[in-house]
Amino acid sequence: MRNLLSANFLRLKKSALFWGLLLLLFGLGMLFTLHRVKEQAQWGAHFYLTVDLFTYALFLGFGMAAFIPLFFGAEYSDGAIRSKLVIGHSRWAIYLSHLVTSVAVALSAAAAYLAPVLAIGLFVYEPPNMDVGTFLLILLGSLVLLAAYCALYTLVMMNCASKSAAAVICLVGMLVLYVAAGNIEIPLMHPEYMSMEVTDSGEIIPGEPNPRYVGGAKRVVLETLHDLLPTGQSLQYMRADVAHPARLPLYSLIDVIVLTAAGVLLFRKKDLK
Amino acid sequence: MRNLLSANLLRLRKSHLFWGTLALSFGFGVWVAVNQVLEQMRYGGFEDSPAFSRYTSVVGMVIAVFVSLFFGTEYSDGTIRNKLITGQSRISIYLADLITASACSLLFEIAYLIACFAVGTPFMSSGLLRHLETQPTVFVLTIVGSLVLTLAYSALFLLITLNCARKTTSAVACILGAFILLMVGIYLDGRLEAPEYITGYELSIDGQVVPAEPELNPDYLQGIKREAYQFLYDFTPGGQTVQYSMVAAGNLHLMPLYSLIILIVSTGAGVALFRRKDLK
Repeated sequence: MRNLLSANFLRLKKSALFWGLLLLLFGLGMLFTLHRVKEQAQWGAHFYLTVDLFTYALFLGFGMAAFIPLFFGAEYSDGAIRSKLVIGHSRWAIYLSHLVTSVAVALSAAAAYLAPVLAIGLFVYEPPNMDVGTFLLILLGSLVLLAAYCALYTLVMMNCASKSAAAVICLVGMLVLYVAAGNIEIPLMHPEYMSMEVTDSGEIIPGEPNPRYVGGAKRVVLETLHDLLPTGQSLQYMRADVAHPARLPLYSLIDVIVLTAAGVLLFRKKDLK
Repeated sequence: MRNLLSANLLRLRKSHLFWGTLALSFGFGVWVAVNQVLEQMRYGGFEDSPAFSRYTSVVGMVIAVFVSLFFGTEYSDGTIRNKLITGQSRISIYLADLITASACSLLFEIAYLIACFAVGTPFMSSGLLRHLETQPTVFVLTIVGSLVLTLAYSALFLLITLNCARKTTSAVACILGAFILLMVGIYLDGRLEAPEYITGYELSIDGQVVPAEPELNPDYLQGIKREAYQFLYDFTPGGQTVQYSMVAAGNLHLMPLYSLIILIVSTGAGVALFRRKDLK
């Protein structure tokens, strides 16, 4: 396993794709922060530190969907996987080494994004409008989410013999999951009442009930699905508006375990020709 | 050229990718139209853009996947070399692929429209096709324009696919390209939609909430900057995608012309690059 990992890291060090991804994320972090700084200087807007801090949770959903098939897919076409098996590595060790490497890549890319945002943002933004515990939970959750994305794409890439098919499935799959999360959000956002009235004594009188409001068991199901989907989590982290900050990292961990178990099982049975 | 086209046609007839994309486009049309009719029945109206234009928002992605996978195989299987050996010129190979890609893209959009109208027409009075009744010119120009737009997308993605020897790289480049174009369109739309004045609310002395003096919106684009943004919004495929999918009555006469310019320029560039490419 250690040999496999060091081989992967050696390839990473020489990979233009890897360095390109880091540079892209660094550039995006810098661009967003400078844009906000300009807005602050021009019309006195005020932003919290969290304004663009967790946007990488969405960017890397797409970034890793492109990176994993491009970087590891070459193992199939070059026959590197067969070579690794011939020298006595087990299939699960190969699978896990790929997963660990891709998680390391995702975390490095997140660090590349966070570096400019924090370096400038800490001086120019207002402190986050949440307690430290919630802030750290959101930060931790968004990083565990990256592992969930990596687990999903590794499952596809390792079990799909055609590299280009894996790339299309990962990228289009990410888009479909993103649209699905957006569509789950729409009914959840409808308010319960069409209007609200506040009396002089401060009492709130609800108006007509909203026919589009989703309540009861259906709401619980939609909310859980939204929290379980990596893209649903990305949308929440991106806005730094997370309803259940403690629950999300747990769901991501469940995603990682289930997807990896399924992926290893499928990969063990796969005919590598 | 005729041989190349018939070879492509034969490949298409046997291609699961082609039939699958066609079936998905048709199915998507049925799904969108049924959903809109149901929403109309349930709530007496619908919130989103009309069903017939909804495909435009995904058409770039569909063409990106199809073109990169279908024509990318020509490289990986060495078909291009075979075609050259049989005496076909590079330009005719490129143009035959362009014609095939354009025809497929049009077919996907038409399959969606047929499905949509087949479901929607019986419910015309309910407003599914309200644009046909209220703004027939906008309706027709939107459909014609979105069909021409598919040609521009085909030419752009073929330029990438036929000049990129690795199928995976071209698939990733095309899909990310389609996505970035769409994001650019959404960004331009947001910038152009910013209102000129912002009216806030303030509390008057007697406790009433009254509208405040309108203030100039700092985000509002003016002068030459606004014209430049508007031009990009009309010219770029992403901007057109946003406008067609919302059935916005913008520069509907100009946009198909811009699409044709994109088609010609990207084909010119694509052919020039492809002629010099080392096919190993």
